[in-house]
Amino acid sequence: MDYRILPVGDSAITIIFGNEIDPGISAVVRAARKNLMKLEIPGVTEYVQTYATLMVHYRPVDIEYDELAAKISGALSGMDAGSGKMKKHTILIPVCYGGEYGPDLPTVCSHSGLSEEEVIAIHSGVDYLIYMLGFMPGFVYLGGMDKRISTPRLKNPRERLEKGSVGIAADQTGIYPLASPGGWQIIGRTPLKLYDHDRETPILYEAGEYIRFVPVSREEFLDISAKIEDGSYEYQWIREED
Amino acid sequence: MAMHVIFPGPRTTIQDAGRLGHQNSGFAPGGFMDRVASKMANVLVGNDDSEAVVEFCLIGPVLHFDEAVNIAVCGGDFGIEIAGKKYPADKAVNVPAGSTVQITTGQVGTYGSVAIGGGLDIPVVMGSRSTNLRCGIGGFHGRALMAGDEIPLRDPENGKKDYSHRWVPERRTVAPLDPDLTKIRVIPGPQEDMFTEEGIRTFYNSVYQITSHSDRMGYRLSGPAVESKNGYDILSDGIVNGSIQISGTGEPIVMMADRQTTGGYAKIASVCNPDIPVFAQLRPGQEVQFVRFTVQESQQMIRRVNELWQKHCRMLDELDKEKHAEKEPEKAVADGPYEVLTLRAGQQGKARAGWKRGTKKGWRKNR
Repeated sequence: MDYRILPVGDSAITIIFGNEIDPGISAVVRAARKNLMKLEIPGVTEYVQTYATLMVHYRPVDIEYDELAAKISGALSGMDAGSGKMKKHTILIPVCYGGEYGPDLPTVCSHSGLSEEEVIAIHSGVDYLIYMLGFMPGFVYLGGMDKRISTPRLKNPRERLEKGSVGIAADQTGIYPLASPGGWQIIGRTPLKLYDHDRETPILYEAGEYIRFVPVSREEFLDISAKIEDGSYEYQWIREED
Repeated sequence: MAMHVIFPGPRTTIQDAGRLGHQNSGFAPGGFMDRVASKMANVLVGNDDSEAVVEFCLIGPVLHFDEAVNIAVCGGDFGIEIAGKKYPADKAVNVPAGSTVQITTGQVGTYGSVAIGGGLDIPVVMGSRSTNLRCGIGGFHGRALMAGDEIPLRDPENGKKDYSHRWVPERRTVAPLDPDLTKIRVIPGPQEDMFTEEGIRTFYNSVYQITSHSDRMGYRLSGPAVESKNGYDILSDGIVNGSIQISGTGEPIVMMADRQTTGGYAKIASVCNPDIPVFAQLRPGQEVQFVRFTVQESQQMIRRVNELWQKHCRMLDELDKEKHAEKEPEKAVADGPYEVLTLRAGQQGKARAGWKRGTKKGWRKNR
């Protein structure tokens, strides 16, 4: 396995596995994260996965850079790149497309020359790999969107996108877990609370898992919202059997 | 038994050592902007050094306490005023029950930390009491403090214990003698190789000014553009406290406590941890120059300062015991020479954190 280790300031290390968005590299980053976490290296506080790198945060009072870099090299050299290969986990994210929840769906249609039904079918017809989380809590960087529905960002970003907004920006698709300003073309909204600090796992998913958007009607959207409020909603996962 | 906010100041939040362990989900740790000041303020009032403090920006709050309590303010050039009487920063002040306390502002420094004896009764969210304004969580209802807020004291009994014999090492957050230029040490990388030799020279040889577009998320600097070989965009990777991004204009942005966890601009270097509090205290208009430092040098300094801080805290604990035994606390202090932390800024690239032999009064002026 090819990688480079570099210091990032005095309290983090980056391990660079490549320089492109690629499911294979992403799987290697994930495998490295899983393997290193198992070592429970004293002084390491967390491992942050990005497209092609793994950032290791640590406390320099407990472990020095040179020692940690050597430990990481040792662990990675013995690692089987396939060892992090995991069963596919896919979370189903209900989305009410168009209308008041998706004001930019017509823009995506006119840009792509497709009907609303076709755009929805294409957008919800793929399982998207979560490459990484960042930008804001629970914000996913997804891979795999069909380029037929690619649409440039809004020329004038909106001051407020509601939480749960599902959008398209160029070749990317994603969801806003929190209300935020933004320039994405908003095509729908999910009623799910992607982020809830009172939940045992505040963020539902992690890098390496998949997201599938499931079209729902406005009535279903409201029904799911109500269930989430009273705590009776069960999150839907498709998990490959171990 | 509460702290009442009479006037909050423009950007006053509750902060502790940060919300650690959630960066893989996109949560920045947040927490103290000036770690050293906050730890010092806490220790002065007998708190654990990572206890949540009231952190303000430039303009201090006016607070009312209906119960007697110790408070201390550390950070920039701030002070405490109670009923027309002035008290210095860097010292525990016994606030009598029913007093209104004004935190006053001076000429230097941006962030101030007010430690409250016994701590504030703020719920822990995801492992921290820090306010995360973006998510609206932590702190007091996830927001900046407002007039009329009433925050209960968590441990009023310990909060009023006499810790007036405690002291902290002298610490120079911003050097008043060098108000215009502070040298900040940085560790190169991880994307230094994206910049031309000329660009790297520009970065280290130029003076950059802190702009008013600076807050808990990041400080935007203005100055000569740093030339890159081929644009400034990278495949998004991780960001640390102190990461120096070069944005599309070629000017640096230094990422701070409430930064994003990942980003797509090339990072030429990172501010070393010992200099982050110094940098955080710079005001818009002040100037910095970046100086190369190595990870090994920085870590050696971090460990040394940490050892001495632990030693200092143990010594204060001993002093507390003497106090209880009604001995003269000064006697213990005067028994022998000991070391004192001095953190200095703007010393033309010399080490800014070091320990000096102290004399009996605790520290010596180091100007």
